[in-house]
Amino acid sequence: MVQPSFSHPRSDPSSSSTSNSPTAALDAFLDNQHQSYFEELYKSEAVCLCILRSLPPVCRHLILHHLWSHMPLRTTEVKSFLQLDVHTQLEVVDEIVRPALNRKIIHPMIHKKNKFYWPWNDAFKKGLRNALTGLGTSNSFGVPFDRPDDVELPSQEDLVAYGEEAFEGILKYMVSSGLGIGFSVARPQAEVLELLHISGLMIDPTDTTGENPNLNKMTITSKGFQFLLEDRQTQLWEILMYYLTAKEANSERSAEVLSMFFSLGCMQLGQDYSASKSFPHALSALNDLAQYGFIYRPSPDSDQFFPTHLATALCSGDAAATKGQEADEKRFLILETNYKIYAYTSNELEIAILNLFVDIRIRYPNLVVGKLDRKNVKSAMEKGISANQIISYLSSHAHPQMYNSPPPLLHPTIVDQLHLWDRERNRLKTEDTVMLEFFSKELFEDTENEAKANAALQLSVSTQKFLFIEPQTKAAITDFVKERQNQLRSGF
Amino acid sequence: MAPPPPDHKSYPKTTPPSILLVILDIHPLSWSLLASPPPLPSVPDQPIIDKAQATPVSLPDFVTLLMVFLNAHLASRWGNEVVVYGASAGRAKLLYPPPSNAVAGPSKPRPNTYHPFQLLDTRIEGGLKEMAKEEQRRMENGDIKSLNQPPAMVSALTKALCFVNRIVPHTSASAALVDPTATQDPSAATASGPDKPETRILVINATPGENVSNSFSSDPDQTNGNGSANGQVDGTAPNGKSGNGGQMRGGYVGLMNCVFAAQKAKVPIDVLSLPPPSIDASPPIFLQQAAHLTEGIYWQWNGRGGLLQYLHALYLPPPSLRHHPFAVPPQDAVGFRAVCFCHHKTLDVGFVCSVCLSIFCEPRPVCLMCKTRFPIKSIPTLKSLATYIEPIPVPDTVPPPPIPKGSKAHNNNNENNKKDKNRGMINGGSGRGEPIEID
Repeated sequence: MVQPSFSHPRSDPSSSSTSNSPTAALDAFLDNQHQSYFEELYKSEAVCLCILRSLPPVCRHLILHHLWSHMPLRTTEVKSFLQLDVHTQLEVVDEIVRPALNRKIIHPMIHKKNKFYWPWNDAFKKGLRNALTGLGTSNSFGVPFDRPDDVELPSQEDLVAYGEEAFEGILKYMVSSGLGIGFSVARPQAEVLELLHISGLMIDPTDTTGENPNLNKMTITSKGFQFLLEDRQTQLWEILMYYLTAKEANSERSAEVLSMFFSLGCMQLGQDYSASKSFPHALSALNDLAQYGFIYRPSPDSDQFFPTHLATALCSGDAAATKGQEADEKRFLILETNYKIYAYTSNELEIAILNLFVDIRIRYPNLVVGKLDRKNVKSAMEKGISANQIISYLSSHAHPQMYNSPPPLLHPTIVDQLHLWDRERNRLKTEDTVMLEFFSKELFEDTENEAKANAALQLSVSTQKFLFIEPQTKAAITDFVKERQNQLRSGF
Repeated sequence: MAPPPPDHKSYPKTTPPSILLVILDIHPLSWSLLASPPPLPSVPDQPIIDKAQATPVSLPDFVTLLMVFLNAHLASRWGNEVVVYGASAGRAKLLYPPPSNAVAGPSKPRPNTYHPFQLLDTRIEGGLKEMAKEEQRRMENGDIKSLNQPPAMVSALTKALCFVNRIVPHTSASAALVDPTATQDPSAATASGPDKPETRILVINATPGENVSNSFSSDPDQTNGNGSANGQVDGTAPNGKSGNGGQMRGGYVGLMNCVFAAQKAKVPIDVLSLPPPSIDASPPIFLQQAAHLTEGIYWQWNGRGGLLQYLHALYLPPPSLRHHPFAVPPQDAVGFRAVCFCHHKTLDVGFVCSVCLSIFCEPRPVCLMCKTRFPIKSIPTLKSLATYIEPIPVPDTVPPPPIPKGSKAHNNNNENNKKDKNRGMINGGSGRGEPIEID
């Protein structure tokens, strides 16, 4: 099957990079941090464990291979373990361990006594060793709550339901604000709305300055629509990173909060933990997370809390692998080559998301039938959703039956058509402009050169002596024209 | 194996989840040997190695190291799993994971241990203690005879292979229904369907090779019936004539059947042999063969400590990362000796039935297995021919060459081995010589 070139999201690197990995937001955040930040993070064993798992496999095994050695990581050893030639360029080897360097697991290469090596970051090494042996002292895997044994605990299903309800409530609120569909949604709490505003997922259209939004009247932005189409884990990490950036903007220390996220990710669903003992320095952040459904507290002021599946699945590489039945629930879409979509779902949120780009014709209690058509897809694209996002949504939610036909999963006709609709939208674009009309050819050419030199030129039509320039340069250009006109006139 | 391209961009971006099945030899007699090792011979030309003294290793110590290693395996990827079997004298038992109907795990998670690690560690510990108690009971019941049996590797391997088969069914029919792209288009599979887990078996052998070999051989009397065998109990040494016939007679064939099953299922069998050369001059050749045939890693501990590093360095990378991009340690030359079906002796020179390929230590007019008759006249000829066979010695160990050559040497070995099998031959000489054709 010949794949047309535009099927590859090369033209849109930003969207492709976010769809690659669910932790892309986290990676971007960590890439910008300094050594001291990591030193702070690696005090927690849970962080060491999660960071190790986020490395690419080759790098990860290199680290584990040398973990118990008391020597620094020598380039010669790495080369021979990777079956590379002894004379391989150092840059090549450096590139292989780049992910570990970026996470400051090892320090940059050092040359001493004729040997090239990367020194270990001792904090990380110690942390990972302690994680494996269980000898740490930082309580990073959560201190269980001290309670009598006979107390009734919420079951795992209860916790999943609670977390799902809380987070989907926020998503539903976002969708309904954009579409005006009437499902009854409880408005999320003010802090949540504030974060949604700061992160740019929702705005108040009446508020032009963007500083004093009316939190009750916010509507979803195109960024918000894109957010909706991501898979759950990506959404969670994005939200957490918005939260973290907001904290940093208030010049609060975020390392402890981030290390708490990782700790939550290593906790056990169905187990209760003590908030004050587990996270003595991040209690307020923990309270904030409760609003998103990451944790469940039996009563608001109690020390006891239960992480929900949102929190415990945070660090599991791919949520689909860990939660089998949940993954099955997510695979409900059948897409036919005639653009018909059958969605076996009764989830309000999924239907609302489908409604963004699908013309829904029939709705049964457990099945929604609709059609991908130009009008709806283009209106979705108007909202800022790209063709690639629709395609990745369709393929990640494809029903197991779809796998029975030979690959590719989605028929190329449909994929191509979506791209074509996307292109169609991009073919014309509107821009403000200022038109100048000239009668002297000389003056026209001089002004054209001047505008070109100042990157103000949009279009020039030399046959009719029209110039189109950027509106904000109008004053400067007219000044130039007047001056030039005077010079030319005085010349005669 | 072709030398891999130096381009690091060809390295795999993801690996499938990996299931590690560990078979731990917990034979009490073997561990008592390991706990008090004889002093090691000095290596004057390698002062660094010479400095390391013989390290006694007891079962509790080793289990602690093993747990760290298993934790590291769990840590290296989400979705990795561990299965542990204990092989004691004559019996094998699943230690981890506990059967699903078992009671819930430990009540409270510890604040400084990742919960899955804690579950694994406590349950293995509990399983081992329980097994030790059972052994104790057996001894108190005066069942000393069964305690002298060699560890039930075959039983454990069979159980492990059944476990693998349960998780990864070989008939791809059911797998194809779920996700046909997995086989056709690996790149699409990683994007869409759940990955098919890869499995490997790690055999940790503590019993000296002498004994393992013996375990597959038994006294000639035993072939005639169990009655006389039961009379022979050697309670003093672990490497005495072991076992009653019934279980041991299937030992070699059973092990080889396991190996071929694993080979077919593409499950590598890694072998870590703990008895250092000072205890055990001859390596456990059948386990070595198992590792060789299934492309696993065989390695014998030198008795000088560093077990934790060795475990991490040799056995941690999953099969999908071995050979490319990671190097595997150079493997020793493998002795392809076999055990005869009639007396269960380890053979240098054997005679193979041309019909059913059964191996015998002497020429026979009638094959014991398939009852094929051979001309009686050929027997003296065969016998006289066999005396002419001169073993061509090959070095015990392939000297560790620079890496690319090392993999080539390994290959050659492989080819020889294949040829051997095709022509129904057994290596002659001290197990490492020129193969002889017997027909």
